[in-house]
Amino acid sequence: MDFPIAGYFKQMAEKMPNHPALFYNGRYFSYGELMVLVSSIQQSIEANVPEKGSVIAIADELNEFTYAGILAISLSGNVILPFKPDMAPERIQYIFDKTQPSCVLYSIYQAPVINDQFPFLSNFGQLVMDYTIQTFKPSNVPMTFNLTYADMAYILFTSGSTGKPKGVPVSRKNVHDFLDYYFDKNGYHFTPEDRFLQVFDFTFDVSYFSMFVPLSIGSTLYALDNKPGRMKFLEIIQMLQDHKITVVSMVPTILLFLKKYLSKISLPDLKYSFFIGDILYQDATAVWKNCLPNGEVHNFYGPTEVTIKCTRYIWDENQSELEAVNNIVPIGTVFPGVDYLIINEEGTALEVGETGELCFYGKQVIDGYVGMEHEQMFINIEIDGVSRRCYRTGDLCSINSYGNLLFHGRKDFQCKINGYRIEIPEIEKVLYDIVKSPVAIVAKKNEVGLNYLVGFIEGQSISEEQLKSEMLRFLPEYMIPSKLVYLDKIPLNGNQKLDRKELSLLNY
Amino acid sequence: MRTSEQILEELQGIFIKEFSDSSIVLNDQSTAKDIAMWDSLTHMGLMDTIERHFEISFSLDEMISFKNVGDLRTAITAKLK
Repeated sequence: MDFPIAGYFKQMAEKMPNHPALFYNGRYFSYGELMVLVSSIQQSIEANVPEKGSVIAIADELNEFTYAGILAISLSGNVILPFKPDMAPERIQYIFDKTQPSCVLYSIYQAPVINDQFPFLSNFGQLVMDYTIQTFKPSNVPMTFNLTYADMAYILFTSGSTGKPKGVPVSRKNVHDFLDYYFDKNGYHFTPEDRFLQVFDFTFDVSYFSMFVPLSIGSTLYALDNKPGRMKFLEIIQMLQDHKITVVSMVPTILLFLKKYLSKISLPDLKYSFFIGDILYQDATAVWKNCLPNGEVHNFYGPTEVTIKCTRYIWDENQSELEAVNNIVPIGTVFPGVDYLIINEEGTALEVGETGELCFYGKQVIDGYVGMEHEQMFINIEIDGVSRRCYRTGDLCSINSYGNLLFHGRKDFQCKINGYRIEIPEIEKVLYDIVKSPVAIVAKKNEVGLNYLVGFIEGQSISEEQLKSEMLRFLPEYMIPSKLVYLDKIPLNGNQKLDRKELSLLNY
Repeated sequence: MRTSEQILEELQGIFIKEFSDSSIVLNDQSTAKDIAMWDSLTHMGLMDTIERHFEISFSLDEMISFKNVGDLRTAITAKLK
């Protein structure tokens, strides 16, 4: 069975061509206009990448071409591989080496600079997207390495504990099962009059919710202008107010940033305020809810490996006060068709109320990573006489007496910075490779509860400024520690392991 | 009372300290694009430091309206009058 993720958009374009589909940078694009652009790009992809299921990289510029390109890749039966043009070149090269895209899409706006930025692009076919004419530049080297991922919708790369990002291929069926949750089910009745705001870029999987849900039901998608140097959190509030947005997914971090000012905000048009990507705090949510006289707050949870979102908790002023533990709002119950287990270190399922590692199986769970690497993230567990392949989230959870999942923290060295999932060892490896002396990264919380990273380095062979700029060659900006501290000696504990506890107590 | 030039000078001192970057030189046209560490993550902390330094308070709408350092300086000057 085919799962036409972008097919719903095509149906809407035929049904209501004059209805606004996309608002970006002060301009509306109707469904009809967007479809013309999508068709033109799709035809060019099909002419130059004949084999379906090919990986097609697309520069995530968050403009009209990015949306049209993503829809065209999907409609042509190929696999979306987003990359940010401001990503570290080494990281992009690694991602391309792993996935071997048949073609790289970028807009006419990027065309003058992108090949200077990433010289290795000449090894790939390139499609320059423009309003009417799409220009294909063949690869400089023979293309003998194309992998195909039949049935895949997109591949995203998340931070990896081995020092390299992990490729997560998500199938069309996974995405279909996920989207199905929102189509006139589970209390959601979106209409073409709804206005969705997208605040994330396409390397963060929640953007596929923010894009595909509105474009599948004929609503209007508002894209946040994501140019560097802009004050994103303030712009989100401005967009919510100015465009009377009715649905938005955000990371809870925004509430911590704006805490001081929340009492001055009123958003009467916002019907659904969705949170995902980090811990939602009860006290901040109570203040936020006051800004939404007609809106509901839904707290979602979902690793990329379980397709965007897989649990939901509907926040309620009185009930959530009772259920929050350590001021953390529950993550709720799992989506229909998604199954879970809470296991101990030995991989045995725990009783209700006990805390252990949350694992998922069933719908929305990926089969494995690109190259079938990182197999330790999966565990086979016998459930009702059947062996099930379960994805281990690394999150410590329990079920409360109301049947809702509670999040208690991570079991490893992962943390969230502004919604992005970060494996601390990945940063430590990059840092170590530069300084060649012992290093440690510690995640700390500031006075308002926001995570930030502190890097500790033994000795001082390179200045902080140089070090940060060197790290930016390999890592995205959000993975660069806010502070770098040089110590004469990195402390070790009794087992001669890095004493992270002592480092976390240092006042930085 | 502080002059507009003094406010700019004090702002420059705040930016240098906040972003640990002694090379920062501000003028009215300076924006977040000109200063590497000035982004959405650091902006609210910066605003907070500025509010405490000058003992003033910005509304959210005011903060949204700041497009460059000149806008910030104008708002501070008006509040200090």
